[in-house]
Amino acid sequence: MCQSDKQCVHQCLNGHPEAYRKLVQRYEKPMMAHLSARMNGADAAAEVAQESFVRAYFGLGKLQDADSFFSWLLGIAQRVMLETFRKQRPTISLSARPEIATKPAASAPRTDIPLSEALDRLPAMYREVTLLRYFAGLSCEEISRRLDVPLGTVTKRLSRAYALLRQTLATEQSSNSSKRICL
Amino acid sequence: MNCEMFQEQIVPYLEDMFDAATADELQNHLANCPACQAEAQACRALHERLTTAGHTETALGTNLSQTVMDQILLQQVLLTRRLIMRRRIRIFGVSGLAAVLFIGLIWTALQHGPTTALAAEPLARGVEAASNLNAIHLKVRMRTPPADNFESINLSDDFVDVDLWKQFSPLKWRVEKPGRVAVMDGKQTLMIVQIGKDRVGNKLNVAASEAFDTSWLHRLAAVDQVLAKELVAITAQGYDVKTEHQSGAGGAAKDVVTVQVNTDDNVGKYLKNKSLDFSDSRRVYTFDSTTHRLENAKFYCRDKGKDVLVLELVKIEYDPVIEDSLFSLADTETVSWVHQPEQLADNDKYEQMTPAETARAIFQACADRNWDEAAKFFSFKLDDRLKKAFGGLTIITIGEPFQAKPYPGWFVPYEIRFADGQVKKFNLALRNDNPAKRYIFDGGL
Repeated sequence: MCQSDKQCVHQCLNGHPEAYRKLVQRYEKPMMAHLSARMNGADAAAEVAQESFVRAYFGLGKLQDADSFFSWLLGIAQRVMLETFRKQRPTISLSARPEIATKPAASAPRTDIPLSEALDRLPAMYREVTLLRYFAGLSCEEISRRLDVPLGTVTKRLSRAYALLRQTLATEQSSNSSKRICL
Repeated sequence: MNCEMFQEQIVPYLEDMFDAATADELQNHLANCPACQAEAQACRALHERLTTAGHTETALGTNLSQTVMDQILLQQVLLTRRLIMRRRIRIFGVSGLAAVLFIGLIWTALQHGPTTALAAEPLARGVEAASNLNAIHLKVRMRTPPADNFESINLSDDFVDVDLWKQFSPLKWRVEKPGRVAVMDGKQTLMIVQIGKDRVGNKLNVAASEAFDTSWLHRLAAVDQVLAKELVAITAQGYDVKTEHQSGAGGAAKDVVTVQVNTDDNVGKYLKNKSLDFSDSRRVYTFDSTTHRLENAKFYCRDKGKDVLVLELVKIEYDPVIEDSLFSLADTETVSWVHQPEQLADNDKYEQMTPAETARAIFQACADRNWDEAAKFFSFKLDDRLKKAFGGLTIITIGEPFQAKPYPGWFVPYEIRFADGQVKKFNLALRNDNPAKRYIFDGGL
């Protein structure tokens, strides 16, 4: 039975694909939480999440740092999301919010949009610990074990995430409009 | 417990991770520090906002694992069928390893360009890799007048090497470029400038953390903070940023992050693009993909529509062993040390001089070879080289003084003809933020 993400990834690559189920079970909630704020409801989020997990499985051999599985997975999810938006509304700028529905919205309440967008802008390793702490409901100790990093590293990353989130949210509030970061 | 210590512990504090004694200490600090109270309150508010968001989202409920595993199996089966049809290719089994190895080639189409958050990832890792250092050695090359201070940049000058050695605890440092060296040995701070055959020195009887226009180098030496600030700028201020993965020497993998920065419009035009702090710039950071350490940084200034490389961090040694002798200077007996301008008997007369009047008085004293008079405007002893060069000059014009924030003094344009007929046109820097409150020479000859 694998404990850390690294162990699960290595087991997958060593011919035990069932170890991947463990990773899906670990990260489906924070993934859904991350995606639901951006997609039109739970169904759309689930489709993107599923596709992301499948692509991640087949791309495991390219994962350079097995301890960074979740942040790498979030990167894949970002690309899948963009592809989905392009397919749905090809004439609309990618900066448009995904609020126009092609099917009835799920019953899940709308989330904190400025916070979601601020989370989006975090560097992956800060977003990772934030999602695990608040959306997967893990304690700092559990995150430390999950990512195989010292507890101090987890609290430090959370601290930096706080600073960046507050900076972004304060900027958003004062400008009263969404800032778009140029790619 | 000070504010810095408290703020480093704010997450464990909010997470209730401390024992009773530590928690009491933190609480006591909070009770007496309004700034930390505000900080804690803001962090708690964010913590609650995140908690609320997390509860809202996770109410969705999921059961993806079986669906995902089914999809994976289906993909593997489809792949196997395609492989069977291609006779030239050896048939793989449906083990996880085989599918991953082969499918990796197919999924390269998934490689899209990076999002900004991904682009900033090497910066975030670089912050961690540069934390908790004991010492550092930076070697930079910058476009600067060779004989000018450590900070000036001149886009038309050649590159000059500048080195910084720094020990963080106890704090000691050395900054050196050809003809100029500054050190701090934990007790005092010295700088010696070579002017011809003479050595002119400035001495501070304090252990300054930075001095003599070396601030920017010290900021650069705090690699983790440089990168952390860059991260804040990227995520909050919308700087353009992109990242590329490259191969360095010997095939070593590198992450290259490029950030486009525009400076504050309040920077005076004279100083803009003349000092590293005040330039529209593009910054290119190169990280080792394995260690995540910053290896190289390039800073470009925009000049006449083109990017000009003005500074390059060519070498960074993390935690080098530095001999203690490097933080002291030898042969200081022959140095001519600068001094604060003293109160003169007729100090009022000089105190009331405007910058233009002071500039004219300096050049007139040189023209008259009245070195006693000229010495009143300098904080160091006038050497023979300077006397020979400037003695007998003729003043052509003294222009309208101007200021260029944040320099605290004035710049006075001048044009003079030396005794040998050569003409020089430049700006004299004067400042009066000294105990005698009269303008003295601060550069520009």
